[in-house]
Amino acid sequence: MARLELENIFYRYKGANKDVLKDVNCSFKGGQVNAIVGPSGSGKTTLLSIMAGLDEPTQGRISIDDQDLKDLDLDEYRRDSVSMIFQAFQLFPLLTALENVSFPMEYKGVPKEEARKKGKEVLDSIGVDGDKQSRYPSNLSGGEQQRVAIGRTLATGARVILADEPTGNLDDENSDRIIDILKQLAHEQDFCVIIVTHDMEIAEASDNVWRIKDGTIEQVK
Amino acid sequence: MKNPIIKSIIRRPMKFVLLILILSLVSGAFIMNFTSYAIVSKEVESAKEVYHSIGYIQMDLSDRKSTGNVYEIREMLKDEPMIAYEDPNIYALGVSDHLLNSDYNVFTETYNELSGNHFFVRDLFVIVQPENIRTIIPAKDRYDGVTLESRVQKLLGGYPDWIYMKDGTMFKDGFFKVAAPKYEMLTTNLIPYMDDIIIDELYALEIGANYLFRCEPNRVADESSYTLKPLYDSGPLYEKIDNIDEFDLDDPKWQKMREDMELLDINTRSFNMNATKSMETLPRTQESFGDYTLFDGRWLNYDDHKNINKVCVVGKHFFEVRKLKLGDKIPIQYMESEISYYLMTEKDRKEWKNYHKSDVIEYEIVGVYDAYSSGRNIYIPTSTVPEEFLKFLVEDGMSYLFGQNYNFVLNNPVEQSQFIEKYREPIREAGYELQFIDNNAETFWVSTKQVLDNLKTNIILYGILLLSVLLFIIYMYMGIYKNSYAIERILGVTHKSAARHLWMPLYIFSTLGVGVSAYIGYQTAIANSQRILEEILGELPSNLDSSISVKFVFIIFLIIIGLLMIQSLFMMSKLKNKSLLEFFSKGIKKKEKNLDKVDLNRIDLDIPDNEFCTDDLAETLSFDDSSIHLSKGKTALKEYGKKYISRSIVTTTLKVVVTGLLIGTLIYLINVIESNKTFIEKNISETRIVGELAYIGEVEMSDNGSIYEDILNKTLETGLVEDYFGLVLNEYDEMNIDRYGTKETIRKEDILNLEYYERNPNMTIVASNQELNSDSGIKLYGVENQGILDEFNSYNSTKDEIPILASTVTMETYDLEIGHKVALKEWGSIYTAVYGTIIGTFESYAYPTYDETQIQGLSRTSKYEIFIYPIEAVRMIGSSNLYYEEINLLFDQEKNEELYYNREEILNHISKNKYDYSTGYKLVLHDDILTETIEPLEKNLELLNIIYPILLGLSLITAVALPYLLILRRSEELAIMRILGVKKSEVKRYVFTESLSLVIIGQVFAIAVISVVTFKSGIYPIWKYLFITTGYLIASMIGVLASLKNVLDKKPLEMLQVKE
Repeated sequence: MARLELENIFYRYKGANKDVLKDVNCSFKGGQVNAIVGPSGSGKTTLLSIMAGLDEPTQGRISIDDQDLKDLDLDEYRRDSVSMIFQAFQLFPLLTALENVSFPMEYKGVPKEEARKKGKEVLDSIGVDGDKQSRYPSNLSGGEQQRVAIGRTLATGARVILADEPTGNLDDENSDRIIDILKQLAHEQDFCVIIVTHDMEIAEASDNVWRIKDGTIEQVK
Repeated sequence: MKNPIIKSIIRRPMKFVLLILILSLVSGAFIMNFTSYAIVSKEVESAKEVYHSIGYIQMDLSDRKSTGNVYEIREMLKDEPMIAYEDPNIYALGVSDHLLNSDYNVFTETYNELSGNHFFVRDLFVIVQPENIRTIIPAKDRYDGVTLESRVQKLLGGYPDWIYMKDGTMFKDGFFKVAAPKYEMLTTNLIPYMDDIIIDELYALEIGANYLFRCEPNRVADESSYTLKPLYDSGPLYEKIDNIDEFDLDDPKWQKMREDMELLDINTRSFNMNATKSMETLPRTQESFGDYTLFDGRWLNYDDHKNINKVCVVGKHFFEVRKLKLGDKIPIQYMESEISYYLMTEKDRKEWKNYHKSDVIEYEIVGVYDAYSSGRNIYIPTSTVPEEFLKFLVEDGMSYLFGQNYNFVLNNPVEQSQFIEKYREPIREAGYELQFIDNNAETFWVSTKQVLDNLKTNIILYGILLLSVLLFIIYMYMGIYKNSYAIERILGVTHKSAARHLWMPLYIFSTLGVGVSAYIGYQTAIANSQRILEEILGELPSNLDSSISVKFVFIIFLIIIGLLMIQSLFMMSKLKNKSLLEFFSKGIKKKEKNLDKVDLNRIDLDIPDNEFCTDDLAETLSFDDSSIHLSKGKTALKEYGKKYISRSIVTTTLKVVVTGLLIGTLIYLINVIESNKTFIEKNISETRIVGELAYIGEVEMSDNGSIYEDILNKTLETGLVEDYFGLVLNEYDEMNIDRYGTKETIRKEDILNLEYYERNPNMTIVASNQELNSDSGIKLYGVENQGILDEFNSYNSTKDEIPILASTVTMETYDLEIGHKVALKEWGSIYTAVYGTIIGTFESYAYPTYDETQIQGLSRTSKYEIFIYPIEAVRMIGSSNLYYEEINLLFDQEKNEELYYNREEILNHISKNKYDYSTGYKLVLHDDILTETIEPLEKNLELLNIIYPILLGLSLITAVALPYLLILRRSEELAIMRILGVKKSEVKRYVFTESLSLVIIGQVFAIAVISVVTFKSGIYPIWKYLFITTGYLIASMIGVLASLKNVLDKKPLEMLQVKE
């Protein structure tokens, strides 16, 4: 069961005179959906970036399954341990849905045929099936694109899913379904899902809720 | 300021300025090339009308086989496909009822040569009163001839102009002199109807009485006069007239005279109708050759012949004397005659009244020529002459066409060399020489073709570049500012206003930028064109019309702006139809993405409910670790790259095409530059440059020859002369003859002591530095045997006896024999006479020429007394200095380059002494063919050498900017890779490889295309191609690396925010 822990995390942008994150301590476990809420500029995305291994904290320790990130290659960490979902989906525009999902597997060295087979299965399982798999992202609806993004996340094999406003571009119905998928992944497959959001409905639907304000974090649920 | 885009531009101007700058530069370059082409091609095309390749046939006098009749040669050439048209000028006799020709004055200067009582078309029948009768001058004896100084009383026949024209030089107030010489002036033969008795009669004529004379214009020595002739064949020389008013011409006794007068009358109204297809290509109207110049109006041209225009070109003298105007019409009736020139033969005299005449044809005067024979020669289009009068002269069953009346024009002057190759020898074998008018038509056409081809190619290349740039500008501009449009729309601004805000800055600044660059391009083009034209045409056309080009420039300017607007309107319509939210979607455009042509209507936008099942997911996502090979990750990136290249059509095409265009343009330019250089080098190395030393009259010179030998030595010191021909032509006035011991001295007479029919014999010595009859030496004809020449040529100053060759005329005049010794000297010279021995004789002689297009050894007449001396022997006569009459130089072909590029310095070296004063001489280089071919190309090269670095600079900037901008646009995509764990180094390698692969593909494509295009030139400047391609590749690498640094140095989430 994946476990992501943050201890005494501080973060300050270069040249800035104020910390964006101040002594953040929190722990996220597999099998749960965690929501991080907070106003704009509160440091949500910075925190997400640090958790994703895209940035390093000025101070503090992050560990995954008790392994300090400082001891890991961050590229490999992103490739194998965490994966991200974005509000704007961030799919490769010139790859089809299937190719988008297969890419992380192929990049990890899974043989092309196997990657495509598994990619299909993943897409099938999240409801992007048939000819939709061979469409480019621009020919898919927002909900479908986000499903492809989730499929890609699953294909990385990472057990921690970091989602940045994953329903920001979706209508209510599609939002609900995406959240359902993420919940199912957490509850049924022990994924550790961390969602950064403004949406209080998502927060309510989550197992744990963390509020971040002025760089400090507190668990509110 | 209401326009938010203008605000954005002002605050962050770099990108916008760059776009406008690129557009302006390329537009300016295009306009410059287009304008240069428009100006140069227009002038060149009109100049081509002048630069015809005009061939003619010259008699090879050295051979003496030819008779001057080129009819057979014309038969050989007339169907040759290289000939556009051949123009045998055929004469026909035309008469006009009331219009006198003006032939009377034309021949006065040389009338002596045409005198003879059989030819009486310029005779006068006139009643005069003698006022003074005396012995003819110069003559000592009263029986040498009589001059009757007389005053005209009445003109009965002949040109009235002789007497009644106010500016007449022969008659002043009706006063003129009638001479009755006893001898023909040149031949010194006795005139048949003159003897001492008739001379006594003439001396006895009554002063103040009236006499009827018939006379012809003539000059006897220094005395302007007329020569008395019998009133009719075998008739008296004069008739006393008691009462002028009662003189009856109808009296039967004047029957024969009256007939002569009638014939004289029609001859004064007759014209030599010269039928031609085009006067523009007649050798005699060509500047370098002919003696005809256009005085007014225009020449007849080929269209006149083709369209049977009844137009004519008349002589200046006739035109002025008869007070004609352009547009006047001359009624002409063609008339049968024996020689198609005058009615002058015995048959003509007898039968002319029965000769066939054509209907009257009215010819409109369209031009006036100025030439010696401008009294009665009228040029008319060949097609206007009735067929029966358009015949070659036939004598003894043989058709005659004289060389001077035949020429032909080639279709393409570039074929001139080929034509010469084909026909020179066959024509030589027939005893003639094929010649072309020396107007450099071939070199002009060759060099202008090259210059125009270069300019044309530049237009095409810049045209394509301009179109690409227009597309690029709009594409980039849209990419940068479209969101501002969308925001305005979202804020409720109408499409019309928002679109106006979007495009207005582009329109305004593009118009300004393109306008300014058009102006600069136009000005540069004018200057460049003038330089090119000056070189091509020798001088700048006085009527250089650049106003047409201004219109062109304005039209091109409008087209560029128009294209920009059309493109923007097209984009605008797309904007209007686009959902506003689409502007902010992160993907790239549908155009690039919609590759599999998915039917959008079929897309199900709803996600089916509750289909997500994670049960099998665990199994699906479990990997057999043994099958995973991390090293294969690179293959995934490669695969991705391939897909990106094949699916991103616009970007891929943009990279390849822009690279291809720029590299293609650059290597083509290099090829053109190199081929021009090669052409110039080839021309320089293959041309035989000849020259001569010319006296320019600024120092004292000898009576014999004008070129002092020091100046020759100075020329030879340059080391550039391979060979020279120096001719000494000295005239002496005392000759000592030693006839085997009997000595005699002959001196020239004082000219005042000579009678009119006498002349001083020549005492001329001819010598040269070259061996006689060698390739570059004097040619002697009629020498008895080669041994004589060998003996002469082996002379050197250490030998005692000087060998001399004398012309046969010399031998006759001075009654000389082989073995006689002669010594020529200046009269009263203090130097001792230097005797030489006559070892042989010759009939005629000729000078050599280094000019390969000229006939070698064209013989000179040998009617004068000429001695040929060894040049060293001439030095012994008088002082030891030699003065040359002419010095022709043949330059060392291997040193042509040195001569050509140091021409000014060398010319200066000869013309100036060390104190910078004139030496009195100049070196004349006959290198027109070379300079007229090369100089336009050199100017063109200069232009290309300006264009090349500009284009190279632009290309390198583009090579940096294009990948930089295109990679920046892919920031998001690269960020996703980074987020998915792709290492920075791998992203770098992938992007680097992909970008440079496309550049290399573009380069290979360009090199392949240009190699095919330039295959014919056979020029492959590999190193320069390599320099360009490597430079471009390095610039692209810089662009790629700079962009990658910009993109990848950011944190991946920031990368998602990176905009261009």
